[in-house]
Amino acid sequence: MKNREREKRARRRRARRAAAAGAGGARTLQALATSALALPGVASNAAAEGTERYVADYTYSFYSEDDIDSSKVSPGSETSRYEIHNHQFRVAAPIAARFDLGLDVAYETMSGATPWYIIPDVDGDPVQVMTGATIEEARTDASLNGTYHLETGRATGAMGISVENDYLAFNGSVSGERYFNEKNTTLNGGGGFSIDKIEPVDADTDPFRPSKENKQSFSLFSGVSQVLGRSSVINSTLNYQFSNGFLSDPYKRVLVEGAPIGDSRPDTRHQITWLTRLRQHADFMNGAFHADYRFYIDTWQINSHTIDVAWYQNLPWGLRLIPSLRYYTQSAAKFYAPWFEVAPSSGHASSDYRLSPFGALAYRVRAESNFPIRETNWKIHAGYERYTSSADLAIMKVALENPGLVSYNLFSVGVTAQF
Amino acid sequence: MRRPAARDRAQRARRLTALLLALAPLALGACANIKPWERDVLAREEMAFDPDPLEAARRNHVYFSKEASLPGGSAGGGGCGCN
Repeated sequence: MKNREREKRARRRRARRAAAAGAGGARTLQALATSALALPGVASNAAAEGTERYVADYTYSFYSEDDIDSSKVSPGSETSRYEIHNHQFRVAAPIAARFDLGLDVAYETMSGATPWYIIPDVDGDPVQVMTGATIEEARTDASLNGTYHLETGRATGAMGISVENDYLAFNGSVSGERYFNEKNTTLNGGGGFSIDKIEPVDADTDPFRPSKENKQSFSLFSGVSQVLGRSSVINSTLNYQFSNGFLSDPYKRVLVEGAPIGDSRPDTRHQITWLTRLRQHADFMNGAFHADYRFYIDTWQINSHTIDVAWYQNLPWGLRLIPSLRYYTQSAAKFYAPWFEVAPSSGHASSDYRLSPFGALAYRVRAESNFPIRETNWKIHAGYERYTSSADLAIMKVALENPGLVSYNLFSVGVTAQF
Repeated sequence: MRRPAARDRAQRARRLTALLLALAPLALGACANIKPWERDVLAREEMAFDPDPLEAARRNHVYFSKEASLPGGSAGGGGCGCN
């Protein structure tokens, strides 16, 4: 018995030495490889893409907003809303021993009517005026990212472009991670920018619509991840963003002193997001619990809370089922109102539902199947999301609900190959 | 004899100490030192912060388009018209 204990201890010592030297038996190497993927932050990408393998990924999704209730629109207004067909592609490859390259491309087509401005009905209740014509547009988004892996961390650089017929955005970012405490602790941080150009359509026929505008955003983030135990890890990240330029919506109007005029917002905005994520595995259930909490605050006096929880249930035959639930609540921007009886002294006014006080509830379910064919690991998945938003779901009391608040269904299917 | 304000302060300090002592095990737990060969569970795909990067990107984009908040967790991506 004692001999067996001694042998076990010696084996552990040998494994530790081998790990420290970066060489050892197959089991140790495997443990080291998987442990690198387990690192907080690294896990977010590497576990999904596998640093040693090529990855090709495609997802199609269909987003469909509910028709707006006829009692909430002005007489004669359009009631059908937005639909989006979205295609996402992703390829990632280890092009050198320590260097990975990834390319993401998204293409989406959008059509439908959107909220324009709000008027009071005969009872003084807010009703939505929708855009008259159905909007048809497309967006292409592409980004290229490269990651260099070191023994003590990794560095990532990314650049991207988003193109619409009336909108062009260039963006870039650099970020890094540094491992400490035998890779039980990871500090991460970085920064990014986006330079956007806006050229609204029909600017010559709409006196409130500018013909050409631009805006810039700069962001910084810093976070820490900590392994809490053999089956538990947590990450907390603080993000700051500063935007300036044309931050209004050129396609929206707001009723001020009885006349619909152009949406007008401050030309600067400071935003802070604090996101904390916990991952806890339950061995006895063969599943994992995900819990995210996000606090957000900005200089437009909006603050919000988000709780997102998910359960990843592994099933026999490579199947996995993932139900999840998300709750969101936000306060109103300081220059928001359904309409303004008197012109605000700041000169800023908006009746955009996205700046209104509301709460939202979303439930999602996703099913996955993983199976190998020769040297390739395949995954197919399908998902559904139901999202509803209303003033009743907000944690604060809301006097007048914005009639443009959105509810939608989202269906998605996808396939991933690792080879 | 202590004045009421001083007594309140002392009481608050005692409560804070008790709270910190109660939270200390959590802090110690946070300093867990898991060895590389003990990370088989942490390495599983379902333990990743974003197991499916495409889904995370799409979801963040939709919420960002319909709500006033930023996704957070990384450097911001590109802008969009986002009707």
